[in-house]
Amino acid sequence: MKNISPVVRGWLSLAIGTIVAYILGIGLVFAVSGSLTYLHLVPVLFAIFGGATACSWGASGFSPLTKGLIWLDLGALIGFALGLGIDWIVQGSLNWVAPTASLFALLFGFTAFFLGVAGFNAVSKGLIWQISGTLLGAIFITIIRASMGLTWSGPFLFTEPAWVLGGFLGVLFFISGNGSVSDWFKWARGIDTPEHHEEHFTDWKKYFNISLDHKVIGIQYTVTALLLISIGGLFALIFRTELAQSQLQFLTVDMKLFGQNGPQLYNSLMSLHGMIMIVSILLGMAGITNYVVPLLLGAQDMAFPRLNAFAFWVSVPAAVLLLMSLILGGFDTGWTGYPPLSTRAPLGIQMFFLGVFTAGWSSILGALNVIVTVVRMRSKGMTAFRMPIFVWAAIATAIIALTATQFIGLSFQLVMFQRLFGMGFFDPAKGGNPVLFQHLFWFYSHPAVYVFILPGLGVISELLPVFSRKPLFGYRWIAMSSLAIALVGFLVWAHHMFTSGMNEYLRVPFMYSTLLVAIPTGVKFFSWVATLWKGKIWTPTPMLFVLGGIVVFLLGGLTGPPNATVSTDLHLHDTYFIVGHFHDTIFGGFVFPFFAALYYWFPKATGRRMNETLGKIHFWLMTPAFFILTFGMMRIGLLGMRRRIADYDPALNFDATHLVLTVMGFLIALSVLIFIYNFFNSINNGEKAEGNIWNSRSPEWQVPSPMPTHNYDQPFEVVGEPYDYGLPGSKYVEFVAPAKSKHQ
Amino acid sequence: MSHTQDKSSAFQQGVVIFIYLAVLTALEYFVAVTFNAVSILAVVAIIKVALVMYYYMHIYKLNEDGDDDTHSYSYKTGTNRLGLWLFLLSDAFVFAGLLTVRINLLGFTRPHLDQLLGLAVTVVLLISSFFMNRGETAMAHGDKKGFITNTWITFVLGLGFLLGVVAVEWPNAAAEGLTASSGAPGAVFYMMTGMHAFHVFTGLIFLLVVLNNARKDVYSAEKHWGVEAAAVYWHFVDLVWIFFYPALYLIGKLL
Amino acid sequence: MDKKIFWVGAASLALVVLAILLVVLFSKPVNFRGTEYGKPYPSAPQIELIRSNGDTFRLSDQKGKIVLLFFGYTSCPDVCPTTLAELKLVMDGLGDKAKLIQVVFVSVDPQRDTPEKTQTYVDHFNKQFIGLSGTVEELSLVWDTYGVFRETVESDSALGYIVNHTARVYLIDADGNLRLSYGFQTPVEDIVSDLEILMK
Repeated sequence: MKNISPVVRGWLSLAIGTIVAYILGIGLVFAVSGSLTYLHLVPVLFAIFGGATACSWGASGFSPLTKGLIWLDLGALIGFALGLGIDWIVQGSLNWVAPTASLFALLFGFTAFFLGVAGFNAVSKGLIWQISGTLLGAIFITIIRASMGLTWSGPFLFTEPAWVLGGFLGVLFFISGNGSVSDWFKWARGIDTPEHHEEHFTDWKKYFNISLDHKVIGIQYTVTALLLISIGGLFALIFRTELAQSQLQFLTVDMKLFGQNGPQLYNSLMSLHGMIMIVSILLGMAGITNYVVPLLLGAQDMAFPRLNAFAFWVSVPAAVLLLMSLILGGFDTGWTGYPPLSTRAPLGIQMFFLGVFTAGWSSILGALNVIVTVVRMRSKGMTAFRMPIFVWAAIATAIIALTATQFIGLSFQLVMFQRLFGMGFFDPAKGGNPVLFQHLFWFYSHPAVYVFILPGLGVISELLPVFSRKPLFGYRWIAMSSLAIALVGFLVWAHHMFTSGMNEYLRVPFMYSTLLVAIPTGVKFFSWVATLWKGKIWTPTPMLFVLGGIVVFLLGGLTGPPNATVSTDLHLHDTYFIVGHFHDTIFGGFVFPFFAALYYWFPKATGRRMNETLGKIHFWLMTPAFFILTFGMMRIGLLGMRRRIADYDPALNFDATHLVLTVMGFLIALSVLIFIYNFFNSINNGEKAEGNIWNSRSPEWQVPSPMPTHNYDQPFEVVGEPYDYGLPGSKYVEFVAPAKSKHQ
Repeated sequence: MSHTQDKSSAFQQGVVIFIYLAVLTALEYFVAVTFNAVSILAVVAIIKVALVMYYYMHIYKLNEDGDDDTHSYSYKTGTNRLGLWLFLLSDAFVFAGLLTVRINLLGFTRPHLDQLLGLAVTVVLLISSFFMNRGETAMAHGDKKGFITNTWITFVLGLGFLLGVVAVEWPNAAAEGLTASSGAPGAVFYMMTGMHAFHVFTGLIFLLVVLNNARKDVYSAEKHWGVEAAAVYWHFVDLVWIFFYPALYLIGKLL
Repeated sequence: MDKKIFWVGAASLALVVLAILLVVLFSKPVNFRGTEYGKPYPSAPQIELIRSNGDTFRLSDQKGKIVLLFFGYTSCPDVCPTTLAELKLVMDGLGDKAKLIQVVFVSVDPQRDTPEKTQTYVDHFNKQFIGLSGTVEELSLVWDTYGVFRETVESDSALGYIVNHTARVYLIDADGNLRLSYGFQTPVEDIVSDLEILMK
């Protein structure tokens, strides 16, 4: 057995494990219900997790991953049984599809995974605290309600107010319990903490624990983002399967999962796909920014390392809350959560609101850190217009994220309070105004999309000179255009509301301001083209994704004006044309540049390259699939396919296109899977790459890879322009003797 | 750390600014009763905010020439200061959003509230800012005892404000029919005062923390960032009320 | 202490006083929401028409009450019923004070609208409303002096022709002067607000 390669062992174990687990699952369902169902959730879940565990064992023996998966399987089963039992006691009858059982399975399984991988670490500790806090809060409210004679239980075990307080306390307990705020508590007691936090863990375990090193935190953010992309993508694959054919009822009306039937589940999956992907974008962007910005500035770390750690760690319970929303009844509003539908939505919407609120803290505090770092921690000689261009993008992004995010928090908070206390903010019968919600919501959510794409566009600007061996054309213009996009982005929000019934006189001004945003964006495009013009272009994988990003974003951007123009938007609003538009802009502005950044800076972080062949396969699989996806979406959108519906009229003749869209979705998923394998495998097995493999002028590439712990043992001084590629004798940075500071 | 003035002139300045703020508040109340002109109230509010931000929150310190040594305490304090002000900027957006909600839903009307109580709690909060400034000034000149006394007074006044709103105004309003669920005016009133009260509450906790640390001699004239942060946060909470008070009590036709 | 601080105080006070002065000098003492007639307010032209009960209606007799004057016709498909319904809501919104207001409806369609038909029509909205009609000559005098546009247009409707007409509501104060007018679909609360200012 030892002579067979791990890869073959892995595939073999995967096959055997999947089949065995699947049969086990079918047998279990048969034992309980007496019927043989092949596509039941139980055998499918067993197959997936059983197969994964077996595969990991076959390929890597009892590695931490295998241990984690085994613990996950056991934890989920124990949790399921526990939840089932508690529900049995409270409701009085055995309900195999009790949401409580699924919830406990999720929470216990998730926590157990991290226990298995690395014992008591910040993740597993945090999750245990979160579970405790949730139960404590919920039980507290339940006791109070019971003593007041109010209803104290519901179909999801606890009542809604109980779950809300529980969810909130769960977050607080997570971050206090796992140590992310322990230094601040010390300061509150007057105890000083060491300046340079010595890492307790030096091996891979540090990624599961609190670290103040921005490089570790950047990687933690990135890996969490990849996890969320996978989950959000999985949700998309499920509902895309439902949409593949018009008569297809994959999510059937009489199924019942998490307290929802098929169509309800569709709505929840569709809504969560949106929000989970959005959170993954925020985290992915935070990952790149936090990793790269101090390196570009020549700083040892971000301005506030503990705040950085806190901002990351708070996103974990946020993600848990979002997943809980699926299990606690889901919700049907789409990611936008408009009242009055959200006022009437099932319990899941509260978890959704809480999860987004919490993720908002992460975004705001991370942005604060970026601004202060850029203002206060630049190297000597790094004047504003000698900063790397990505830093400009990061600043513009941070300005938006710092300020506008509060508005989505406020809008969600108001709906939460309307639900909990009957406060009639958006209830016309009480003098409220539903359109007010939309104004508050979109005042953040439009600038938010610039938060999504500005860093990506910054990555494109940063990488183009390296791979064209030419100066960045119009550096100052590009820098200013990021700020201009941020500013104008605050002035366009009501273009999401042309059909909302808001005052008609608002339509034209917002149309003009929206069209205006194209100008600074155009500045970037023309500068990029001019950068590429007559350059010595070479196309390793990062550059492929940069070029792909430019083309995809261009298409997304071109489909903007038809949406911005009121007369056409009246037809396009709520159709798949919009869906195509924003997938184009998001992929072009974030996803493609995100992958470019990962392929580009992976060697800096690990000292190894990701596999080029797999990288090219990733690109050439994802890109055509994505083009076909968005063109298809826009086609049926123009022909009248509505958004957010689980089924559609066969007479519309959309069936062929929808089938193609579903297949493309699966192909994109496959390409991402290849990337994820490449990413994790290359950490230990990638080709060594310890020098300046991209021949970049940027300071971080002038020191060996992986990046030293304190970044620059010798500080540098900026002595020239950042992008003077091809100019003989020009230097950007010069390393100087360390300053006489007693600091090390 | 250099002082541009000695302790007693700094104290005097605090008193003068407080007098200005008090006069402006009285003017504001008088104007509201006589003219009911939003523009005048806005001008008064902006002047009060400018005075508090300059003299009590010393926003000009953001522009101070930093130490060249980026590892020095004073450089780090400058960094912390920028961080705090950015945090306040972000928090200000929450309150701006609430003001937007109030204007959108209530327009030029306002719910019936106890004017005397509103004026009283406003004055109490203003006086607390005076004592907070006095306390911070004391600490900046190394006067630990002065800091503790003045900050305790701030705390008591702040608690008084909190109780005045939550324990007196809220039950009063509810008794008159203005409850959280009675309609948009009620919802707006409780949400605005509630969010503000929450910030007063966290401010009180912050004060307790720095009082406790001061007692343990953690701070000195040269190193007292925690005190500055608590004071600036406290003044911010007062700033919000400078807008919220006219928005809730003084603007608009009685419903 | 810094001498500058006294200048700061003086400047603040000056600014506030300036703001007060500007407001006092330039703001209107009242805020009407309808379209105002400028000063000197024109006297409302006399209307003298025979009512369905034989009495003569004279606009000048309405002095002491505020009159809301509207021109329309009983076969009007949309504008007139909507406006009259809104005027009814205005009366409801005033409660007791409604007795100080008189709504007067004058026909633009003498061919089909008799005084009886017109009065019956407005009675459906509010029994206090006065509905007036007359001969083309009598009504033309009123239309011309009030600048009312009217134009008959053939239509496919079973009612025959429709009449396009000015849809503004005219407000004549208790002294008989034209003060305000309101376009079609002015919110009820705007009219109520203006009436309350006038009735103070």
